[in-house]
Amino acid sequence: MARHMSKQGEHIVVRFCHNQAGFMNLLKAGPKALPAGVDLAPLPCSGKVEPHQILSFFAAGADGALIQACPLGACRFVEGNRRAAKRAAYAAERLSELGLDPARVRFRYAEAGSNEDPESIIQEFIKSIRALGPTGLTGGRRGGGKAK
Amino acid sequence: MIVAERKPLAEILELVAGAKRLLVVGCDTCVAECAAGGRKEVAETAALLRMAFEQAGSEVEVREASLDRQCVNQFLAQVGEDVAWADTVLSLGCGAGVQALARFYPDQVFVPALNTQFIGTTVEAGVWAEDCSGCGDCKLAYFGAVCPLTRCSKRLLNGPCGGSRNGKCEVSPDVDCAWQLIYDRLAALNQLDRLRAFVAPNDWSTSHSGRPRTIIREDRRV
Repeated sequence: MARHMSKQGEHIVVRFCHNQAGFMNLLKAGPKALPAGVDLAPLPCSGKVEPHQILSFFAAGADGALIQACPLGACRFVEGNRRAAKRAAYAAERLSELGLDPARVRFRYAEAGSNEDPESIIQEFIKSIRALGPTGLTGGRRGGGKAK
Repeated sequence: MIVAERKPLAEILELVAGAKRLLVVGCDTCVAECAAGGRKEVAETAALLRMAFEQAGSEVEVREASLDRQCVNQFLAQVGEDVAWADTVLSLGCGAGVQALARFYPDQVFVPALNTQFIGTTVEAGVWAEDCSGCGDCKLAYFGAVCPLTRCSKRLLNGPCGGSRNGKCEVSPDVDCAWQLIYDRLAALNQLDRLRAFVAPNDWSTSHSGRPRTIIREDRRV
């Protein structure tokens, strides 16, 4: 979770199905290709993500979590992306119990047949999280790890 | 299995108020199957609590643990060090699990994170239904293995009431009429003649209504 975390700005966790080539290329390009404060990592399938993992991102100080899945109907495990969508929605509901905006968890299906630009997707998500402001949670990180 | 649901976070926070070293301990049997108290739910609850404590400015250390079975003494010793470390233990076990822990560690404070609901089955992924009332006098053989004491809203033992409509209970259209299920199943099994037998009123003295129950098997005692 600590990968690519900057000490300034939003802390964003992005998890994507490794079949999402654009996101994988962005990851391979290295940390310098990523916006500051973004923790990007692949999953064998978006359906691998669990609510407790998403919530742990926030407990560790994330301001937002983006789950990028394959297009509907295109999951190699048939149902993985649909399950991930439900789990992300569940985690977002749990955030509401803490008074945090559920929009801090975003799940998105890739658009079938389009060459989506992962950088712009992430930037747009960062922008939406910036509008919400920091969660106020640092997850015990010291040294001013959160944007003020 | 025992089916349970997690309490609202606000209630859990009230129950653990004042804790400084909190152990969250789950059970990986029944309540894991019903996604209420297994290790994933322990991680989920611990994450929520850590965030809630930080929001409140409370310095509370939270540890996580999970047992194969919280209701069996042989497993309970596995969390001895964590229990000794904690000043409060939040159990994600069923009501029996919480009490088993409390018996095993009489000097520790245990609070429940779950509301234990019923004995049930996983009908499909994410759906759990009540199937057994633990009445202590099983009559499933008479009813095609569908329990009217549990699954009929009125607990009728000798046929349906007049409120069954299209196979659904008048109490709720979401509830199957147990007697429709019984009839359909016995018909499919060519055992409709079983319905001609009068079934005596249930003897509730064998249930919890009689007293808290204990079963003793001398051959299994040590």
